[in-house]
Amino acid sequence: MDKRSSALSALLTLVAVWCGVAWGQAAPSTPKPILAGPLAKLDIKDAKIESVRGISKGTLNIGLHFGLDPGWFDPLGYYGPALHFYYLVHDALIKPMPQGEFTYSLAEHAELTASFTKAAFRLRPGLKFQDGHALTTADVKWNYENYRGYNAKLFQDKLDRIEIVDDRTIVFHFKEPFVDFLDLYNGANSGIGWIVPRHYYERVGQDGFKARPMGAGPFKFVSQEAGQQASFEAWSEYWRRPPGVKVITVRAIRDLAARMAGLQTGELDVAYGMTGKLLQRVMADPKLRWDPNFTAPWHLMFPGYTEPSSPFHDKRVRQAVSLAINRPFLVKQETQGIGKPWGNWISHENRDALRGDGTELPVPPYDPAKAKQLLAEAGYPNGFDFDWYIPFVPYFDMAERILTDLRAVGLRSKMQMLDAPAYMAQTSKGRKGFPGNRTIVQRIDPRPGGAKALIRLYAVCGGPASYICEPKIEALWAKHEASIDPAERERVAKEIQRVVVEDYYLVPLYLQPFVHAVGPRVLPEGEAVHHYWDTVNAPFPWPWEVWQVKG
Amino acid sequence: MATVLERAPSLGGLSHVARRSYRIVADVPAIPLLILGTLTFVAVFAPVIAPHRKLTPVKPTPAQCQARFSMTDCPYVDNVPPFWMSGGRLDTPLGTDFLGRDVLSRLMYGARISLVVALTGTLFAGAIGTLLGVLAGYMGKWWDQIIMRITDAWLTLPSLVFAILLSSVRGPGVWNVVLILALVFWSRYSRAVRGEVLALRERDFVKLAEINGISTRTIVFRHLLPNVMNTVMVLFSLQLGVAVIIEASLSFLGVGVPPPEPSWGLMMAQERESLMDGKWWLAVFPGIGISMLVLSANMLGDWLRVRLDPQLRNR
Repeated sequence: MDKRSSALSALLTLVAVWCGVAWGQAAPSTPKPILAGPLAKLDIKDAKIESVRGISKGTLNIGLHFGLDPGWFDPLGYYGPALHFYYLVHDALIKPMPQGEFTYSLAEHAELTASFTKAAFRLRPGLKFQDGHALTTADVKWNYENYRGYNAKLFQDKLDRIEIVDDRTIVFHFKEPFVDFLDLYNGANSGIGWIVPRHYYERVGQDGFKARPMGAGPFKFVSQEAGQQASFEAWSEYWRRPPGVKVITVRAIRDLAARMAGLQTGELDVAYGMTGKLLQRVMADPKLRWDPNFTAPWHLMFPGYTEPSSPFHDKRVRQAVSLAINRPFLVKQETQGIGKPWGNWISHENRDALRGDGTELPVPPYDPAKAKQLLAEAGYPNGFDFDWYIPFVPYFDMAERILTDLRAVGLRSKMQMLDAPAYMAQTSKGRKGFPGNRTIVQRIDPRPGGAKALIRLYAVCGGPASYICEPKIEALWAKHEASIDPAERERVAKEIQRVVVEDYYLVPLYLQPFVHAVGPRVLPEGEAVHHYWDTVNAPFPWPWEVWQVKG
Repeated sequence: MATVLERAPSLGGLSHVARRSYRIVADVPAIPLLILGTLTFVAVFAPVIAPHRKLTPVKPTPAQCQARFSMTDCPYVDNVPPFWMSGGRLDTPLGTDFLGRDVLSRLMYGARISLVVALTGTLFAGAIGTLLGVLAGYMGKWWDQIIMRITDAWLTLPSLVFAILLSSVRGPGVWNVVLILALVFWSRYSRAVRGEVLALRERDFVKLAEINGISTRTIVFRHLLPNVMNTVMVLFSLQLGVAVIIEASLSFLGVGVPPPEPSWGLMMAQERESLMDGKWWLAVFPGIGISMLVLSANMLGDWLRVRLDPQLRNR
């Protein structure tokens, strides 16, 4: 071979290699299928992997507005506001992210058969837990089998068997169509998809795990003072990117004034739940930035209303409760007018939810005269005393405003101020969490995902935290569960929402701006900071690995 | 003559009584009594003398609504300052709170709750502790051992933490706070009373009663209890101040008197943010109320201690 032909062949090889690379970039190879047969169309977004591995620096101090519960570190017992901590320490196969409600995380590929009887996942290569132990499908299987949190029974009842194809590929076989599998397996609606290390969990036990959790998330757990504080350190080997900050501390500060003081003195960089008496001050402070962070609608629930001895058994009484509340004024006082009076108990950002702003469901009116009239018709011309009004922690001022409105029409009670772990534990049991049947519970449940997850949770008999058990709703729900037609399921889910609202089983109040305030150390400067709240309907600004502060 | 001789001591006796009465009156801590008397009067007659209702917002004028919310009609105007400040009004002399409720009226009703809770709580504690102290001191043997060991153990418990623990078990409520105060403070009485009874039971009048076959019950209730009442009264007045603070602390922490009932501790707790926002009057007035009540009770307790102790009294 002469020199000329060698040069030509080298050039051709180079061009071929370049073309190959370019082709690879333009059209990534289609993932190798796992399941045979027709597949359901899934809309799962790709993870955003940062190719440049930066260095974690600085400390992000977060002021949580209620006490911490170590139980929130354990996805296997999922309930309550645990997602805040899951996104720190753990990781899920798929989870809500800024890219979309369903975003690949530990899994790089998922499939669901069109008959909804099989689901398959392929994990990313080289995944490991924070102790260096490999994360495999054996862990995924063990998590499924040992999950005991919300909807655990449903997952177990539906499961036929789990097939481990290899270390990265797993197939769930269901006894019958499990249409909502992906909805519930997605990180927002259960803890079953958040993978905890089997070897570690078995070694330290349930309590040991709560005391010292470990996972595959971007931050390693460092320490906690039960109920008070927890701190986390960046795990530089996190698959997506090294976290932007080196340390995150989460402090439970129930007192709004203390959170405000923390922000102003620089002891806190982020503080949650800044509505109420000091919101105006937050808005006016030039050193602070804030995000309205609309989450979900506040609503009232009546545990035990189904019992005839409960005064709330009568629809007219529940309607009177709704009519007694001056929502526009409440919004003005609590949120400086940025909240929105709302007619549904599910956020419009949840899939298949009805808008409660008057377009699909009316905004509930304020009519104390009619409320009194309804109470009189129901046999309570002088109103009545009920046992307790139990507000969401720590929105006690708001609760007292509502109690004042109720008192004006003759509904008298006192407020029970629980701390968050107690409140969350009680409300997560549904009706069973509250003895007696003369109590009103104020609730909010912001979470990404479909409306039906919330219906399943709160509004059907036997739901994990059920407050409602009505034959009318049960019939609709049975229809929903029997159908695999997405359009019909959507229609039925909306019908159930309408029944819940029109029969006042739950009384919506207003769409809550869960205002978060940010201190001057948080990067980026200026209003660009709002990108931290890009995950749709997420109550907290995850993912944490993207946060950055001045060093 | 005999008549004159008989009258002379009587006159002398009268003047002695008068002089003694004058000395006592002159010695009485007038300011604490005045404060306690006023607070008690306010507490008892709150429903009559309070200018507004405790739980209902004061109805605002259209002008107030316009000025505050740019609305012609509104349910209430919050955070109206005291009358001497700009924007203040005479019909709400100490201003309104975050729900437009009259602060003065709520203070009056709050005095009622603070006093009732502290008085009854301390009273129950005194009753339990005194009875156990007398039993331990007089019966001796295993009665003494058991009661005093429990008392010792009880005394080691930090009162506020113990009260919070009990409160979280019992739940919030006025009568639960009373029960908690009784459960927290009885041991102080039993310890002091038992010591007193140990000395009393060796005295002749007790021994004579025993020799005459008087029942134990009669000895306890007729001979011992009246003789320990001085100690109990002094303790009672000193504990009263502590009870007010415990009640306020429990309510401040959200485990005492449940809202919307006005308790001074709760009023302070609810207005922490307002203090930060420059609305000082909302937290300061209940704070002054608590300070005055506690200080008065302590001064009265000190005075009683001196009056009822012959050694201190004649010093």
